[in-house]
Amino acid sequence: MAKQVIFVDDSKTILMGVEMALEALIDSGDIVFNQYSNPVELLEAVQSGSVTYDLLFTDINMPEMNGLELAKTLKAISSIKSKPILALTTENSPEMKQQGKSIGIAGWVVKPFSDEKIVMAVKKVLGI
Amino acid sequence: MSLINELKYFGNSLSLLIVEDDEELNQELVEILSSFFDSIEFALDGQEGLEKYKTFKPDIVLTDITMPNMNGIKMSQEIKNIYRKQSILVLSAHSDTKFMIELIDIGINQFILKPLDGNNLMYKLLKVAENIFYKKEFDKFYKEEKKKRIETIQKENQISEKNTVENEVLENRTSKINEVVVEKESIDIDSLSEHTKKDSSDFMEDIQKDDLIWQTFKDDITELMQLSSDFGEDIDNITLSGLTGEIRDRIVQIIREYILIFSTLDQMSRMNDVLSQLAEFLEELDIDSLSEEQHKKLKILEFIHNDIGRFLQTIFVYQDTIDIYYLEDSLESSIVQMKNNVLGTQIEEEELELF
Repeated sequence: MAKQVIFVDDSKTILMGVEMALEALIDSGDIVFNQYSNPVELLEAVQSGSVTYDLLFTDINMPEMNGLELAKTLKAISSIKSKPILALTTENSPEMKQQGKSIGIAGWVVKPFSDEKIVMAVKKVLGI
Repeated sequence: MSLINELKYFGNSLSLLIVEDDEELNQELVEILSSFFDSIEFALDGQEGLEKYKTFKPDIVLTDITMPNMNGIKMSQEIKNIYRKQSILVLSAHSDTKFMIELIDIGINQFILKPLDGNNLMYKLLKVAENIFYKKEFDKFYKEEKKKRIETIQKENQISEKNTVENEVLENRTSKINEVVVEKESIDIDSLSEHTKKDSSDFMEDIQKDDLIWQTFKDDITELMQLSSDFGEDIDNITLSGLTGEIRDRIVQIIREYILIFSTLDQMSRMNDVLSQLAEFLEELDIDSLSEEQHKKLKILEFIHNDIGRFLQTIFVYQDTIDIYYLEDSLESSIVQMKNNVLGTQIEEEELELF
């Protein structure tokens, strides 16, 4: 069954970039791609049970909410706490990564990124 | 989602007050907009508008400027005195530009140019509705989170100290612990960030502290919004006819004007570096020799325009973000990616790290 992959980023440019990078995986039916430009909207949808995912990518610096706060809150929701969350960000400090790791972030993708790296991250984490 | 559906989605829990002295237009607006909002009331002049505002307490006020009894400016001022954060959209004609600064001073969110264009009206309403919607959701979410956290701490405390602590003392301590927990967590994350954070209200306070800067900057905000709308028109033209040298020159000019306006603000210096990179990249493009594939890759400009437009609104119009520096790094990486995509060069990137 197709895996649900969600990207959260305030930047429409990034969201369009990843959607294009993942085109082959979307077309083959391996994944279903969803995007949110506002983390609060995603939280609301997950909390109400209307949205779930197999893999989530989140930006860190967003206007409404920090991505680590988002990840921490999602990791506290029992229905999806085992689902992997990866950071997709310009933040690249070891301390930030360590902090991410400690709240359960499963991996780190630094912007700018090539199409190949996003595809590889999705495939590796989902085992496809 | 289409504009209509989006407006329905965000508007259906919100209320709207329409203040317009042209009875025919007023009725038309009520008819069209009632399918998008939970409830609508209308008034035919500023005086009636103010009275209705006090009892109806709408989420959004849509008002004309020139009206009998009380005009839209005076009414907006009175409303802002009652509730500073009230969202007000102003219907304005070209001849009203002389009122713009006064309205911006009052804190008006959005202007809609007359004669009315249906799409533009819906788009502007959508932006305001979306913002109110998220603000409400955000408040609700944080209230619930805080309540949950307090309950958890209370429970833990009750188990370990249930026989020794009086309820009053416990409550007091819980709120203190809660404060410490909240503070500590936010410090942890903030201190790790590679850039310092500043929220919108601090930023606007900084600007307003210096009267000279603030007086000139008020005009600049109007100018920024106008530039953003011009940029949007050029993007539409790219969709229609592809990127031509003429459109490119106009976009570069717009970006240079952003830079000029921002150059008076220290807080925007890094944003200016990033915008300069964008202008330079576009200037150096040899448009006549671009392939069809390269033109297609330049479509990303549309999204870059979106990101910059949202940034300007978030910072200067809604003044509602936890971090005014949120976009700069991300925009820079988008520009790098666009450059690499269009020019076919390799991206210098970090290794993928899986923990």
